[in-house]
Amino acid sequence: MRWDRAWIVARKDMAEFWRNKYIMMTIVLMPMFISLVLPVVYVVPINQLARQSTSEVNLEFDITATYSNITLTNAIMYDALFENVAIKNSILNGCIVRNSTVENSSFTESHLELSQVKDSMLFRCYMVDLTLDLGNTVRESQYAGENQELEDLKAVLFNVLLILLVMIPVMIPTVTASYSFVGEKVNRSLEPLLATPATDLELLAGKSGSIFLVSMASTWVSFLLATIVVDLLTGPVLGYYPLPNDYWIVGVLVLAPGMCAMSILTNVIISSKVNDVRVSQQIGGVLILPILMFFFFTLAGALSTDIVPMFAFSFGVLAADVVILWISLRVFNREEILVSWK
Amino acid sequence: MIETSGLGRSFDGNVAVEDLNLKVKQGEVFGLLGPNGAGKTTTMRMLACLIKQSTGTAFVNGYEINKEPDSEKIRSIVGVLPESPGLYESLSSAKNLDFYARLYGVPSGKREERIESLLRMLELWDRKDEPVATFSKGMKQKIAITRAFVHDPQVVFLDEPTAGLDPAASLTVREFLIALKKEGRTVFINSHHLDEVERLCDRIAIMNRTALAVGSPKELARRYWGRTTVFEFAELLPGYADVIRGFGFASNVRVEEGRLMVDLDDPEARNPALVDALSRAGAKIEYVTELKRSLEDVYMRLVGGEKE
Repeated sequence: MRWDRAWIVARKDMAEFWRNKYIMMTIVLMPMFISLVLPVVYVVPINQLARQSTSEVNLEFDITATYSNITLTNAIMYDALFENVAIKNSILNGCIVRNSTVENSSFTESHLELSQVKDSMLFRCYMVDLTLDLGNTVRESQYAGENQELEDLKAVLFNVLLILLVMIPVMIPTVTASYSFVGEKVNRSLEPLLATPATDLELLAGKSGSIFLVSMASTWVSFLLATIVVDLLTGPVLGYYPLPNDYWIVGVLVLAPGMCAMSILTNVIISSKVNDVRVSQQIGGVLILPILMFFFFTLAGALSTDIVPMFAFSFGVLAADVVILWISLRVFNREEILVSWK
Repeated sequence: MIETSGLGRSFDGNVAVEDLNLKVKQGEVFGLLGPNGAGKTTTMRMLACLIKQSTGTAFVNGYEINKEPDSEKIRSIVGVLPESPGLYESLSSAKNLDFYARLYGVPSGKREERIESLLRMLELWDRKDEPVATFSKGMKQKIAITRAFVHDPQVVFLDEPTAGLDPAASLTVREFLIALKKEGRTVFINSHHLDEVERLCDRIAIMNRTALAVGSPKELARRYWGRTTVFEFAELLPGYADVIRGFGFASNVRVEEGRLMVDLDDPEARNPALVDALSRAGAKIEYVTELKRSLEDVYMRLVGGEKE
């Protein structure tokens, strides 16, 4: 393997990309939209929730009754203390709730502590170590301890943004590889290239390398821009810069290159079977499906925002890359290209 | 030098080339003629190590085809012009050539000099920085030809070098090839243009899956048509044919289009006796010439007039 020959091929391909307006639009516009526009949209709910958690609430209680180990349903309660209670479909004002479960209820000027709250509304409340889900509406309230709702929201939105960013190294090769491989086939410029002393591996490395470099440069710039935008917008509100986190670092350094390689190599295989750049792009677009699956699972909360599944998914992609590389090496050789590529 | 021995190639059981035995000498311009599907391009691709042979083998300048590490060596010493120019349309002609020169490992100092010299020879230097997409079909073909020579190869395979060129461009290309022929490199041409092959090639092979005939155009014409002497008279009388028939070595004596024709094995030796006999019979001979058989006549006889 002579890397200088691969680099000559890569440089030539990059010079061609530079002169192709469709490729340049794909390399510049799509990543800009994902890295600059989407983060702005995504940080709005985070900032909103973060601002709510900074509201200062000073409450005074005049407790007149205490309840424990009961189930409270369809009730309206004032100035009461609840411990180890299950509260459903109720309205509570000026109450203290500890170690309880709450569902579909409304609280005003109350103190909630060490409880699980679901699908409820909290107005001017003081909350200590609550487990909140995203179905709650919280207004002008103050958090003490960890704001689980905010943490969950941040995790989901940042992860969804990460997955959208990972679409960049998948989408760019779909366009560039179709021009690089199918385009050369249609233009019949592969035969003179194959007549040179460069080996099959050097040619494949050069052509794939150019696409990889361009795609990953665009991807990493996009990650950087998205990180800057998110940090600039959320930093002052949260009091710290949330990105990059562990999840993003794995995404940027492992998942994105893995997906990029998968996209390029799959397009090499597709190129052996089709004669139209657009058809190649459409088939290559199918690659987006596993990412979209991941995207929707994340949205639906089916996947943990933990880093372990992210690592598992990323290394699964790298393992798939090895298999696809083996197939592409069988497809991309002189004999196959000149005899079998249709 | 190129030498093939029983070279053959099949595609899914269909024989494209079989038992091909050729010898092309160093510095020779060799033409491969044949109808479509005769296996010319397949032969060229096998010799340039682009595809593998099914049977037999071949050597190019001493290196065996499709055998590592010889294949890479062969590809580095041969230049190939495929059927289609296959240029990078968005790049300029100079960039196209520079890319290939780099890939063939032409040293940086020689690269520019070589590209300039080739582009000037084909009258394209003035447009070296324009994208190839703006060029005519003929200009693209010329660039593709220069690409095949950019690394100063010892052997060049040209598939239909003047296809799609107008007469003036064809002439430029022919002159270019003649100039390069003088440099002593081996040139292997696939072509349908019999006239062009006849003018350019030292020897040719007519093939239809295998070589049907190999030799110089003149040799082939003689081999397949014999040699015919043509007499033209001020007035052709019927008795003149009988005079010629009186010679045992004269065969197929006939009158065509007011001319007397006779097939001879050795016209240089026999013609004086025939001229003398005819003069004695009172014939006023205006011209004695040899009937020219074109390569086309040979080709049509061997290939059997297959439609192109």
